[in-house]
Amino acid sequence: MIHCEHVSKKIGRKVVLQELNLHIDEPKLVGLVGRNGAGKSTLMSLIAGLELPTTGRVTVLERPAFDQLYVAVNTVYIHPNMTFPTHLSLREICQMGAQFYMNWDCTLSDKLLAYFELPMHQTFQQLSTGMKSMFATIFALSTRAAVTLLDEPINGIDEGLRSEMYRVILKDYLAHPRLMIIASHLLDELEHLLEEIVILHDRQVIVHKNIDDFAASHVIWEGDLSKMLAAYPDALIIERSPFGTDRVVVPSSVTASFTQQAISAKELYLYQTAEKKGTIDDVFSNDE
Amino acid sequence: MQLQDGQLPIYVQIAQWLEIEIIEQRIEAHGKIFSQYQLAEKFNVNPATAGKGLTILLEKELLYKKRGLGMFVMEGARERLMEERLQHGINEQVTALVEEARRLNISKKQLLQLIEQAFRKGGNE
Repeated sequence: MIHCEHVSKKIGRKVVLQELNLHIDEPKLVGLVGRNGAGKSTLMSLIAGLELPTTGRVTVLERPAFDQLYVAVNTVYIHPNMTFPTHLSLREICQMGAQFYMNWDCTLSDKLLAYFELPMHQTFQQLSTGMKSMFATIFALSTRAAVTLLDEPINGIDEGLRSEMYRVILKDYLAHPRLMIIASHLLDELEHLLEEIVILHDRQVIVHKNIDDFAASHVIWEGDLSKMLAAYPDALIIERSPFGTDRVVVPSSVTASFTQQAISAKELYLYQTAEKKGTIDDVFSNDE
Repeated sequence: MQLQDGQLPIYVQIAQWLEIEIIEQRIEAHGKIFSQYQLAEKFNVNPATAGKGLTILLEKELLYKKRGLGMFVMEGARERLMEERLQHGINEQVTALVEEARRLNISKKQLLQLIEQAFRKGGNE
């Protein structure tokens, strides 16, 4: 379905992606995460066929992705900076979508837009940030595209509606399973929806796994730091406590008799992509 | 419905929820259990995760598969689950209760009185 082979992408002089490989063959809900500037959006626009990789190959639905009509009509990509034609109302944008996408689901778009009370006579530019995200997400789901790329679909949506939007995505996926890749910084809100997680870091995919297996791959130990480091020298220190109960992250395959705690996918992702340069407290510290 | 116990993976919580459904006879022996898609929708999780919850019960032989029809509750599943809970759950809790009573210098007689009181409140006696 999606194959990225040895993909590198330079933007100006900056290498955004380097020798990246990613293969997804089945309809799934996949979470794409990475720190700011990790290249999530670049990867998505390569898969959507909007850009050519500098080197390497991106294949979507068995065809080279770039500038292919077949890929375009079977792919949808929404992101926080997207625009729709400025002279069209939301209703007209949907009509345009229905003409372009063969499987466009009118019932779904009508019902969702009415439920979330989006003003159909207004243009996209007139909407608030949260409403833009809602409209773009509803648009993307209504296309029923085989490859659905949602970059921060929940961007700016208020707390009350966020959980409803997640449920919309899940219910529509259950009704019509297809490949949905969701890039988001809100992994804790999203992780239960996902089957797989892809982590972009240092210009590459460093993790591509079933998300439950990913979270289960590590555990948190609690205890005395020196003893824990003696048991596993590569343990990642996450908390040093003055009361002697320090916390470290270790692979769950290591056995030891420390108190163990499960770790969430979000926590593990954050620890694995952390730059080792101290904490924010050091910035505010007056000690020399 | 949202599962809350952050300590356990979601699929383990789903397995536990299903076990209670069986124990409380909301699904009888040979009754059809929820599909992974129904569970996914109910608990707001990915169907693959929900499927893992079902697999736990399947591996404990509490469920059986009928090809193309789904999964069903095994004969005697409820009794086995209750036995398992008796062994692990109640026994552990009683041991903890007795330990706590010793710490607080509560006599055996006093503890038994408390238990009787609790039974009366629950209206089970």
